[in-house]
Amino acid sequence: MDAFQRQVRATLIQTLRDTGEAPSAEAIGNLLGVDGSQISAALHSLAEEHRLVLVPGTDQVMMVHPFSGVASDFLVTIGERTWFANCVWDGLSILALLGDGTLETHSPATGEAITLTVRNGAVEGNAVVHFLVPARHFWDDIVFT
Amino acid sequence: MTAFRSEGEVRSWLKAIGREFGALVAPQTLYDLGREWYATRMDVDWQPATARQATDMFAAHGLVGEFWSLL
Repeated sequence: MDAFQRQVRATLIQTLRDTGEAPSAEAIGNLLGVDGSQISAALHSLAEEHRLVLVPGTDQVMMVHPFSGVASDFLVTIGERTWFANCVWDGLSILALLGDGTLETHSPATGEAITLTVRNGAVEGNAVVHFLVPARHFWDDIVFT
Repeated sequence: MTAFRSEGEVRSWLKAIGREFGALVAPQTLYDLGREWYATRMDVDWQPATARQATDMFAAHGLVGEFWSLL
């Protein structure tokens, strides 16, 4: 990552943290005072370096971990604020970073709703988390992971 | 990484989709790991962990063995 790419990535993830939504390339450009096409190029470079994931064929951010830029089955709520995460780990990580709240998801096996609640840093809720893909292969297909 | 009610539920699901068992982790472990893993992620000067650093971070939370090794 060069200095500009770092700035773009930080602006993106900080905006997502603060608003719950991934900003467009144009919106990031407005925040940084540069043209959206430069942001688009930086986003694609960052995606090639596995610093984020774009919706294929677009500039739209799908993942900038731990946040999801698109709706997912991992909904994090803290007070009145909400975010989508990429997986259970990322959802719990958002709570670890930003404060007590809930992670709502569903069992892939049964479709049953599962809610994990964090109070004072303690995770409550009857669940286990399964990792299908070994760590060294996380990025082989990050959407699947 | 998805949530289930029990290991039995995980194994039934894996059988149904024809996949091998991976690893089970307690939600609290992931919460604690996440705090460390993502601690500097919002910073402009964030640097991805090296394979050694990531493997050590997993190990510090009890996640050891081939499944968790990036080395």
